[in-house]
Amino acid sequence: MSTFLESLAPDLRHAIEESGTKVLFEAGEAVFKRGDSAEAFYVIEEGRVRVHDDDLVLNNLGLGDVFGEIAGLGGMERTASVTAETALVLLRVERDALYTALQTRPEALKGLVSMLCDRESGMANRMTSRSWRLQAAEHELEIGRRIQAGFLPNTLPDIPEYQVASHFQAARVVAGDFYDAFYIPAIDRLALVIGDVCDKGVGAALFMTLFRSLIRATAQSRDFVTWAIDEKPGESSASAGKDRTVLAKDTLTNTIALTNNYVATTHGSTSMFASVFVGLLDPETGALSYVNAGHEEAFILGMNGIRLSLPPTGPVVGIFAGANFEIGSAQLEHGETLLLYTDGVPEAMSESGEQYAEERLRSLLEPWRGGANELLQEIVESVSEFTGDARQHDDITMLASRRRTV
Amino acid sequence: MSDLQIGVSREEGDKAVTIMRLMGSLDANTQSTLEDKAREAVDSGAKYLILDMSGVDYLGSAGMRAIHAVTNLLSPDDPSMRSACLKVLNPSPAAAKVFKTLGFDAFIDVHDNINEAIAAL
Repeated sequence: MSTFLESLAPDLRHAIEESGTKVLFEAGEAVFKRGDSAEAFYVIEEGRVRVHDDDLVLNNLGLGDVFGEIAGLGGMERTASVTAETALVLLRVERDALYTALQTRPEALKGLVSMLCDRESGMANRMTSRSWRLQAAEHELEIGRRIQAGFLPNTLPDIPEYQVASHFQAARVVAGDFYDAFYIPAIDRLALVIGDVCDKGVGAALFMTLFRSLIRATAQSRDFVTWAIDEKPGESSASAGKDRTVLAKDTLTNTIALTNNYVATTHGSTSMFASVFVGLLDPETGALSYVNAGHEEAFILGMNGIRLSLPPTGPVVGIFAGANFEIGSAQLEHGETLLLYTDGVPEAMSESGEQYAEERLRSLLEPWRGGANELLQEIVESVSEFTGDARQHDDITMLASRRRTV
Repeated sequence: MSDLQIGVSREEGDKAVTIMRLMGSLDANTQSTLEDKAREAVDSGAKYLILDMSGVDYLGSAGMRAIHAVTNLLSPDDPSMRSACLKVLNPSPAAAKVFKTLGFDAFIDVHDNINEAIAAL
């Protein structure tokens, strides 16, 4: 590839060489910074430079390359910073000196116009190629979003004793929050799960699929295994005759311990964790067994508002191998609702940066008499009114289950 | 965009302890600032670390991820020692609540006195 000077018409090249002066820079020294006023451009005679905007490196240039010509010739502010990567010898060409040299060389002036047109066209090509790459990345992310949506339940369980409702609102294209609700025939329990993977974006989304899958697969393992040995789900000979409350607690312990220890020992070096609430409801009696692993308090809403808060019974899942998780017990009476939510609700931010806060949520819930769907809708409306036009900064996820009145 | 400043000092006693004073917000935007600074310290020989959180006005779960990542840096080969090499000093009540809710308080000691924190290392 020819260098910048070699690519020029001879007259222009002579004009530049004549009007330029040699300048030296040490490694690490700034040639100029973004926002500086510009009256010259540079040709690299020795060494390498980095064109950058703070930490973002835009280009690396070396022997024979030119930089700063657009702002330098136009007398504008520098649009990027240039820093010496190594010791530098530069040919510094001042605009005024070049114009003086050009006055006696009309051919060189043509050459300059043609050089600027070439560079302009090269820049336009690079922009087009960047924009294509950006579009391709957005397309990939959109595929990711669709696939991730498949890791949330398609439909909520339809069992006569309970009304189940959910709300899921991702802050970015892909999310770190998840929820799940499914019936487990082998132990006759309705499973209600909500989780929040720390951090945001693609990393959190990958871990969301891992946590959700491990929890669901382990919780349903009795059913999955009995299918494999030709029994129908719910007709497991292994669970026949056993106390279902004990089975439910065993299932909870297994689910949370397996998920925690698997992620902590297999992916511990990434330090990715999730706060998770897993509840198993007895459809007939309303008895709830649960593990709250470092998650927001869950609420049981009665006729007069929050009757019971269910605080953490253990740490977050995925980083503390061998951690202990207590099993909590509570009772959902007829007409009462279990409300699970992620911190995207209390931490929703207004335009002025104020948080919605748990107090607002609590006062909204007092008193509460409606159904699960209306409950979530009311919270969504209240949060949305509070945040106004502020950008949503965290996923907002809720799951509610109301035990029907007799 | 949130911001996090970190001042680093060393306390030479029975054990050389590196103290990082965090100022600002420890969240998804700034977690790498803490990890990078801790990596720098570990690369230049730091074995014991105190995170002074008195200047942290917001601590999010991504910030907690960064704190766990720092414990991983300090003793990558000995999981049981992880929290022994790192102590947390003076979190605000809100930050202390995050520690407790997420259950980190059972694995990483939180102190309100620097001498106690150093003695616990």
